[in-house]
Amino acid sequence: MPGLGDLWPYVIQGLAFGAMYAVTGTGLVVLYRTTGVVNLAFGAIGCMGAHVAWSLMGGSLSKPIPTAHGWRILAYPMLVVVCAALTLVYGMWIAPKLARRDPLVKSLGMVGVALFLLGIMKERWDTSKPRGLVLPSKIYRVFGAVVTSTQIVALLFAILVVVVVSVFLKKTATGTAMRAIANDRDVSALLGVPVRRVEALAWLGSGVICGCVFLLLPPLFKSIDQGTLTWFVIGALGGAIVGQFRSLPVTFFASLVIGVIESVLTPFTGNVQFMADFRKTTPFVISVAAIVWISRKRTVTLSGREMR
Amino acid sequence: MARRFMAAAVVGALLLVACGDDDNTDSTSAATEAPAATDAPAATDAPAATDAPAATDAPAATDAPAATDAPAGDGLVGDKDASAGPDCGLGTGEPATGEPIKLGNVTTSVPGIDFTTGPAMMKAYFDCVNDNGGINGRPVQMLMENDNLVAADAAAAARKLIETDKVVAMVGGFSIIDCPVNADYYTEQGYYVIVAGVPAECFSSPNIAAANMGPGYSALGAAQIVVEKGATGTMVTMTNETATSDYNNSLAGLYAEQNGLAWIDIQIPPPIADANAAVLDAVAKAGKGGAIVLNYTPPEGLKILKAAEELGLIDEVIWGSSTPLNDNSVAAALGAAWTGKLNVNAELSLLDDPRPEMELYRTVSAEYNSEAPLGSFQQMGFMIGRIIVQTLLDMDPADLDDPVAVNEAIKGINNFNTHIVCKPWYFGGLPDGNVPNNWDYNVVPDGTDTMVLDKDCFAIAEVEPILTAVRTAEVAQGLNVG
Repeated sequence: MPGLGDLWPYVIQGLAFGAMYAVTGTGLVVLYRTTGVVNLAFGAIGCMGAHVAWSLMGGSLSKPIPTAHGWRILAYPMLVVVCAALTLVYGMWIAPKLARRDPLVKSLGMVGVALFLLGIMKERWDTSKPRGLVLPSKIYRVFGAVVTSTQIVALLFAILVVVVVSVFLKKTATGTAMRAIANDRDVSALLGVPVRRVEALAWLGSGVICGCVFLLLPPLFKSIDQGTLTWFVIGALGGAIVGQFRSLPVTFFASLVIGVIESVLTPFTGNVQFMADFRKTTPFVISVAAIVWISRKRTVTLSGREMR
Repeated sequence: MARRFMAAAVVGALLLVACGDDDNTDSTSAATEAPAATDAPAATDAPAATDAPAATDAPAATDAPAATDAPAGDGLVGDKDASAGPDCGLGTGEPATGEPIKLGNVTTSVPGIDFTTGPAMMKAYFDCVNDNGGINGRPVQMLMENDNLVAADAAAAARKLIETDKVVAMVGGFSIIDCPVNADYYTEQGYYVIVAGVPAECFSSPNIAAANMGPGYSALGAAQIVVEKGATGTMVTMTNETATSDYNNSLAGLYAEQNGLAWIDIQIPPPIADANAAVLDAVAKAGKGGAIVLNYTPPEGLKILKAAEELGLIDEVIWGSSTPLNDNSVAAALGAAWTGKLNVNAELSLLDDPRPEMELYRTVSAEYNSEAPLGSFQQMGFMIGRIIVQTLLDMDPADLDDPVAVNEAIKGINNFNTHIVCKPWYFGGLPDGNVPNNWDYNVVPDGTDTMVLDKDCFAIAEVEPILTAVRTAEVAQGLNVG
């Protein structure tokens, strides 16, 4: 079993991934509270944006990790634009057609989008070859562990997003409208809240967050691997579940904890090797534990009968 | 208006992607520039085994036939004419128009593990053959089925190809599970299958012979090199956690232990998400002066290597890898920091090898498979294509639709000269299994965009009974000599 000092570098790696889980979770929660949709295509949309940026940056098989020069630096904002546009297009044209269906159907709609985008990416960008996106990065040493500027930016960005979104929801008229829609869509509409417009704004915001996350994720993953990026969202759901798809601060801290635990379990060997082997299940184990804890004293209604 | 604008923006972005720099461009140019590289083994140098560093330098290779023991020209292909000739098939320039000859294969393609580049290159060679007279006027048709890394799918795929599609031979499958799932079925059906194999069953079944040597022997070759270069203490091997993972690095582990190193095998479920944590763990386990041998496809292997670079861990250990990282796209992605520091076992000749058959590979790749880069999987696909086409051309045309006759011909392939592997290739049909490709090169990244030769053909060490039996049979039956 590794000593505490040995775990420090893994804590650094875990904080960076936890931060990405946190931002993704924040995007998921805000959209869910406003529209009732769990955006399971978050990863696929971001991955598509990353691949578009890779091509715009001049990526090729002889230049699998391109660096942006001149006008190609526009590939970075283009990544965000593509993510925002794809998310908004879905939110404005397809999501309204599912607005009155139950949350499961709405979420399956997003799975459909994810699979559709995966198909396009697999067809256009052969998955057997390496591809990566990098950001200009510096390396620092903190108590002997290497910390990259990308990891620092990831953590700061996560804090910024959580604070800004929280303030936005509480202090602005649009934020209030979003919370009203989250409580009751029909009553909000009767009270004059422009539901479609507010929902569109939520989709757009989710898309922009998605784009920003996927500026940072490829350098952390060292790849724009389609499978990894597309299903990153599943791990990020853990934090959102712990936050009950409601609390952004809880989502943030739970995501950080999940990221750190997942990372620090890596070097476990010997009798505790199983902890390293199962570290990827961390988001799910914590989610289940949270659900059990949250439900422990609640009344559950089954077939119209209250069960205690 | 807003809707139109957004739709236009999305369409515009996608069009930009479609019109942007394509993957093809650079690989094509690389192909045309490649033959001029001076680091490649010259045609005249290659056959002289005495020029190559001796396999006896590696501690455990003393039992294996050492390169220095082999007299020049006795086995290594070098500048001998390729058995399949200088052209695509007949080289007539006339398109084949008759009834197609169907050849099938089962290949793995799932996220994180996509082997379709090999069959794609084999098909490209078939296309070139079909444009040049085919098999005495008849085109070759490749039918590929994806096993989805699911045993049931692999079994269904083989049965569909043989019983429904009526393929006359199974060639060019690049699969993780085809051999273990279907080896017995192929034997029942009387099919002699040529694959690029991954699991042990591809090298221990009498009815299967591989163009490559698979991850087991290839990682063993990498282990020989890192030991030869002074690795001490612990050798860590890393691979994907799949059904065949335990085999992938087992031979390398045996070699490490025979040479006084501790061995730790790390298996990570694909795709790797936390490369930084994974490489921190591996380097810590290997310790200063130890070795890490990777057994990954390029996208996965590169994550580990770039993480090691970012964390400043390149010089902590000696790095080795099995064949898949012998890929110029890997060299390009690694850049200057890795110059000469990643030892990649190359089962096949260098991508810029100037010998005629490799020139033909580059030409066919540029003309018929221009979306793919040059790479070892593609070389294997091309080589298998050359082998099967020549085998069909050598047959009585009246027998080409008879699976029995075709498979007997495949079983009889013997000492097929090709510039793509160190020694002539044969099918064997040996009772304990076939490992016809058992001599390798070592290559390293040059710091720009190319893998260059570090060590010429050397014998893979015998650390288990199958290769020992193969080498004994080779001597007894005159196999593997040209």
